[in-house]
Amino acid sequence: MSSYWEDAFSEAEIDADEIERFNVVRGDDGWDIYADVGGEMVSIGDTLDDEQMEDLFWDDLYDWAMDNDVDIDRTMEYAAD
Amino acid sequence: MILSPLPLRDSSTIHAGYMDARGRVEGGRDIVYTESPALLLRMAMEFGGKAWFSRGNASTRWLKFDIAGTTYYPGAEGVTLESVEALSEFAARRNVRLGALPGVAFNLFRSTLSGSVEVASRGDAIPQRYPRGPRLHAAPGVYRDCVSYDLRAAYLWSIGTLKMPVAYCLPTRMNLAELVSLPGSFALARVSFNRKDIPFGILPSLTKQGTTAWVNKGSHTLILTGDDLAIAHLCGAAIRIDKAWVGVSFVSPFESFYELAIEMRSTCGALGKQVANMLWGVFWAGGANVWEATFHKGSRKFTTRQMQSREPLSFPIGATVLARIRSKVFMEGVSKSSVHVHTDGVIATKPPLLSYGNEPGDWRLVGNLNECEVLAPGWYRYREGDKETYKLAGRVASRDAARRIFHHRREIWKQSESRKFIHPANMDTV
Repeated sequence: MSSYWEDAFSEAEIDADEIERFNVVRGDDGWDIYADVGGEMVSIGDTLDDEQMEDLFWDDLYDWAMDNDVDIDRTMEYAAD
Repeated sequence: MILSPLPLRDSSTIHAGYMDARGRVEGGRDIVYTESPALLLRMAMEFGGKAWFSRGNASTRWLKFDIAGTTYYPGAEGVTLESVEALSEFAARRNVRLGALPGVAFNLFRSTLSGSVEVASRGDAIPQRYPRGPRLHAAPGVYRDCVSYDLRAAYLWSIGTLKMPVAYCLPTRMNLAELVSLPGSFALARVSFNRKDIPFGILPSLTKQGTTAWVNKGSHTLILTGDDLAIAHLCGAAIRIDKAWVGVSFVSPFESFYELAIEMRSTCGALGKQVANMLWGVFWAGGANVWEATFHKGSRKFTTRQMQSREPLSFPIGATVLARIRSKVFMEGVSKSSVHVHTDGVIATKPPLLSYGNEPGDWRLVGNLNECEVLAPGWYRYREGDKETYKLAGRVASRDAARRIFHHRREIWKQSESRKFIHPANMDTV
């Protein structure tokens, strides 16, 4: 895990070992990541643009989550048809 | 259960509006529809408030936010101010106030009833034994020249044309052939897949790798509708019926709503299509896992607590609507050449002869694919001309990231022996 996330966890005052899942929410201006720590959800890091999302999330935190059995929730949107 | 008409009530207007992705609200502010919950989460952390979300297997759906006296409903795909205004006017003509979209659908349905209608309740059937997994079949591999097709407005068609029994009788003896010939019936059945890869006509064997219909190995005791049992039987399952609920005296409570919904689809844009498709979920979604989130002003943390789940409003309606879609997809759309089958759509190398149409329940040609690679249910990629698309069981990612995740998942599954038999309970839900 990169120092970006170590700093983000530290700033959010959460212990990485206690994270149960990440929730990824897509907005118009980028991606927000939330960590679920025992029922408390914490916004971690900044809003990431597509490039940052690839470097910092998919290439970094995603692998760490997979290795540590941390779930990654996607956010569902309704479909019209 | 009794389905009753919408009572006449105070017709005070709800002023509904629309919020764009930058937080600009147009129209009314009593309730506001928007697409993504991302901005609402940020607003809730800034101003405080409450929100509700449902959590499935590896997915979250934000349902509603209360922030500073305004109620926001995210997840309205393709919503515009025009579609909000059109829906508001459409609903007001029927004395229906806007709110959560499933609730709007339910009240529009009630507005079409001229009197109370009784439909059968589930009796002593246990809904938890009904397999909810929507996926049907995936044949891992890389295929050239495929066709992708699906059912238009599948859920609207299924509920709109549904005939429901007024009551169920419980026969002491019932064989499979009798049961599947009786519409609206369902059974507690022991379903076994013990034979190996026996060809069953044009339908894929459910014992094959990647299939996630209900069960694909061993024996399981399930609640299944007549449509489900017919498919399982035709795909090679051995079935023993332990108990049957057979419908008697049928009514068509959704007929008028179906006509109304078709009108709504044409006059209220994407929002109208969503509402039209949501009625089924009202009867089925009661068992969803709903959580409440509490936000405190200026804090980046929020607490969540699981709310008490309740049973689906009507298990027979919900299960029958689902099963009718499965049945239509399997009986009409699936063949030996199907490589991926999901809730209401199929990808096949040689599709069966289908007539495409524009009405709900008609087949629609989605695309001609130059190449399609299937990993597992919900996980596939396809190329149409120069355009490559990745499907990651509902995950949204930019193209490069999607490619990476797909390749990553492919490597994991290549190494995993457990992939031979993927049970729906272990799969993500699309």
